[in-house]
Amino acid sequence: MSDAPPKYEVGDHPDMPAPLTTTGIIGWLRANLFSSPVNSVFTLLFGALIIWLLPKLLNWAFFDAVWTGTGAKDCLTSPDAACWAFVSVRWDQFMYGLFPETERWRPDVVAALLVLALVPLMFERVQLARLLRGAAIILGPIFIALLYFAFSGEGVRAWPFNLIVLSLAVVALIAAQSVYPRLRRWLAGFLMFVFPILAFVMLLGLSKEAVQAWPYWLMGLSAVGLAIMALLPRHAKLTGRSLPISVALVVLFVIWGVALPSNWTVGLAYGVGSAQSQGATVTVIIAAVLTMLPIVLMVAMLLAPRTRSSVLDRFVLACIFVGVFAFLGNMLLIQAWDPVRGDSPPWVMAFAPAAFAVAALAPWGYGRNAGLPGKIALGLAPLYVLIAYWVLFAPPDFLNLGIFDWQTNTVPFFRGMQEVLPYVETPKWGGLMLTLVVALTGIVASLPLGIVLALGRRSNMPIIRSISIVFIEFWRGVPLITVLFMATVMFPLFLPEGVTFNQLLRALIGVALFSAAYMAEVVRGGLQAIPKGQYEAADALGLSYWKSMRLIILPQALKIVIPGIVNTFIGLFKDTTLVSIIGLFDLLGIVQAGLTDQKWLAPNVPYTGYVFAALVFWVFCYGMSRYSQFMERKLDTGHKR
Amino acid sequence: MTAETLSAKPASAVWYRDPRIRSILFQVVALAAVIWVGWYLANNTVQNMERQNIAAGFGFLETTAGFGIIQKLIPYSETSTYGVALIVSLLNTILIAFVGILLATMLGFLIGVARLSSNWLVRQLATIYIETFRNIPLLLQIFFWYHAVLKPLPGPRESLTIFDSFFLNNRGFYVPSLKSGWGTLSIVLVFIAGIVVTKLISRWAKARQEKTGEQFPMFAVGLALIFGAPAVVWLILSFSIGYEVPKLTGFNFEGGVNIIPEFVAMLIALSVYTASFIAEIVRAGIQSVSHGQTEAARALGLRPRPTLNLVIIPQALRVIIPPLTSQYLNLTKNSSLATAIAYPDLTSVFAGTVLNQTGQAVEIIAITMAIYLTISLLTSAYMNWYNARKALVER
Repeated sequence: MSDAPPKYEVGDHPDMPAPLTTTGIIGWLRANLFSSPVNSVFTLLFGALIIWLLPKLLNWAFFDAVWTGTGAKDCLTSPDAACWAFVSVRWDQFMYGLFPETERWRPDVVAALLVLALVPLMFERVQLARLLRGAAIILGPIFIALLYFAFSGEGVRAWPFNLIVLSLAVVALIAAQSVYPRLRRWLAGFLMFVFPILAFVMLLGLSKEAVQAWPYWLMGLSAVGLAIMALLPRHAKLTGRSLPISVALVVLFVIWGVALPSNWTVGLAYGVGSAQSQGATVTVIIAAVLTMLPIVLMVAMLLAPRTRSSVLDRFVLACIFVGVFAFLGNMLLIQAWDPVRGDSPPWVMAFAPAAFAVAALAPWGYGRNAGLPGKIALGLAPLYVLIAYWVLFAPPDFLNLGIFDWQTNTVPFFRGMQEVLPYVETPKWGGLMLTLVVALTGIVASLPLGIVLALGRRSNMPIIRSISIVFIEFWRGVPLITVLFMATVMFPLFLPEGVTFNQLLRALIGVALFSAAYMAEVVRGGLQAIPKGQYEAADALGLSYWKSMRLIILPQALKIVIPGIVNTFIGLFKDTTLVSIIGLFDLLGIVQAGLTDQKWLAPNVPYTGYVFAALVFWVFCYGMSRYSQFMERKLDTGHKR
Repeated sequence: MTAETLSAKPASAVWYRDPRIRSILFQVVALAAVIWVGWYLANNTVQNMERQNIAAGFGFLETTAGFGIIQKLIPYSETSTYGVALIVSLLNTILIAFVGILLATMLGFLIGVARLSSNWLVRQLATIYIETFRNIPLLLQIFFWYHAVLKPLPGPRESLTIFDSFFLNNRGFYVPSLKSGWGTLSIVLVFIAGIVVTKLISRWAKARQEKTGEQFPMFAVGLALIFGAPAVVWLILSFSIGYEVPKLTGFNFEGGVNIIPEFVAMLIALSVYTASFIAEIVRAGIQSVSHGQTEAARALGLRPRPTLNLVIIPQALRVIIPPLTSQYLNLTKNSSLATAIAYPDLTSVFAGTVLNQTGQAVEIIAITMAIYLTISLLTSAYMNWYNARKALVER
């Protein structure tokens, strides 16, 4: 007996390999492309279509395209292919519009800050190993391409290195989140409060009128801040958070220390020296005493260990507002009061001490629950609203602006700032920068308004509900282009005589109101998805309406609708192209404007321009939609079938 | 010891803590704020209009327009009034919205079903289509199609032509039209009668199927009645119906029906763009039907095609219809982008040309917004009614 087949027990037979037609590539083809006669026909048909179409597209876009050139004659060398020279020559215009070349670093910095603050917030709880592996896979080829761009061409270019550093910083921040979770709060706080103001200042710059009005605006807003703080109930004790607060306090003291001696004592000298009336002198001296008292008090409490923590956690916000208020108030004091005229010091002086008084009461807490000092602070709140209104809207001559000599009395700080950030009028903004400005402003402005509207629509109060419904249905029922026409043509009629908005601001207001209505519907969907038990539990705990919304309902609802919000943002991003119809040069508008350039009149240039714009939009929108799907998968903890 | 009675008063009896009083207070304040803002804006508007000598009122609708419109469904000339221009542009909007909705729905359903096909190639192509056209702004697509459609076409004198009756040039696509009269009227009547008869037969067929379970070839019969019958009538009468053939007179064509390139560009752009959204809605709807339904249908021996038609799609429609209506509304509102390529729709003619000529911004924009708002609210009301009718009755 030789070569007899091996004997197996029943059930022990080894498996035979699968038939050839069901495995490997043949199996895949049979299952996916040729599974039925109809499918086979489709495969052959569409396959033929692709084989015919794809080489044409590739030729148009890559192989026959003109990559370098300076005018139409270069484009005409291959008139049936793309002329990317048009894009590369006009790249800066497409990105920045007519922004002056020397100031282009400002939008760059703003964009870099946005990416640095936003991207880590978009990815939370990413494991370090996966993050590094993903970053290496995605960023590796990009870095290689960037390095190629850096060293090709004459000299070494800087921008690829900037991009490399930025990407590495973003990856580092994402990694740092898992080590230091508090970082997310800081990034969110930066993004919500600091970034809008920073972006506004950096993009717009400082005009003469702006620098003149700035101190008043900041003073007015500080007064409002103080009023709000007086109304807020006492904060909880916050131990273990002293490092950032201490940093803030130190910064504040520096500002005070620089400002107070230079302006205030000078002012005091002026005041005492040239005040005509005794009443003025007395006012000045009382102001001086009241000004120094809280500072002495605060320093004493910081030094005493028992009161240190209560000063640290309750005082910081008060210090920021008071610091701004006092610093600028003192500055204005000096500038708005021309000693040559010899008048008594303006009223502003009397209110600065009141600010300090409020700050001095801070360690005892504000609001209803804080005993007598808190009630005094509460009583001062209307006073601050009055100051704010008066500072912001009172006629200029009331504050002696008529005799304010800009050239001699400008604080060197602001003048220096104006040279660093010169004013760039909004008609010069354009390109991708303008698209992003309009889209981001629209979303940021529409989110709070949308939440308020959604809550109003679900309210039990019939009038509030009707107002919300009418608002939402009106703005959702009209096309955006009519809203933009309305903003352009009708807003000047709505405003009192002499007040004008520039074109960009009108478009932004129109876009913000329009998108607030859509955002309201999205948030309403989220609110409806919260089980009724949550509302009932909040009521059972005795939470007031706003407390339950803020602490229980809205956090859950907003988390659920993040994909919806991202979808609304994608729609808004695409809708920003409509501003090109009302004369703003967003990316589409500036590409179209470039098409009318005499130097680039070739038949393939319009196609190239439109394809380029389409590519940019596609990259942004597709990226955001992938992120939205990623978030949806993360949030969807249900069972899959 | 006296028994302690529970006080009937609320914990804090202050009037400003009573929820009802607070609610009334908030509502009064909100109403007052809205009224004050409205009065302030209206006051400013009236003052500004007086200062700038802008006319007020709707009298401008009786004034002569003085401009032509390249596509008009009712008779219109330069001597017609602004009111007639409003009607003409409104009809243009309704036309493109209607045709666009039809095309977008057909294309969208096709691609949505293709997205779920078992053929890998078809699936990928559908995905590429959806991802491409969803993520590019509509305005950009409109410009692209307009330049792609219009630019390569020759002038009227060098038109491309078929049989010397159909002409294609950069002024439009000229088609012979049927002369109005007996023949055309009868074709139209047969078409309408076909629709009505199809509806009646389908009702009868459904009742018969409920009773006996026998299926009736409704699709084929309906197709034959709606399209076949008029075609037969046309064939019979084709020798006696007159055609109006477009004739080149001077620089332009006279007679016949002109389909302007702006219309074609808008139509393609709107349909292709909205179809990509409708495809996703259809896909989501079909996928929302529980897989158990498909398995049960298979267990009953139904083949894939009848399963789709009889089991999946009716249930999927419940999920599809609300967002689908939303997309129809979006398409109607997006048709206002015709301003960009000067297709004479409501926004382009009325809120564009008429606004520039008369300067009466408030009235014109109010009318335009009111018209769009009416269309939106009617569609929303219909959708709410449909939703309420078809909603799943739950505990």
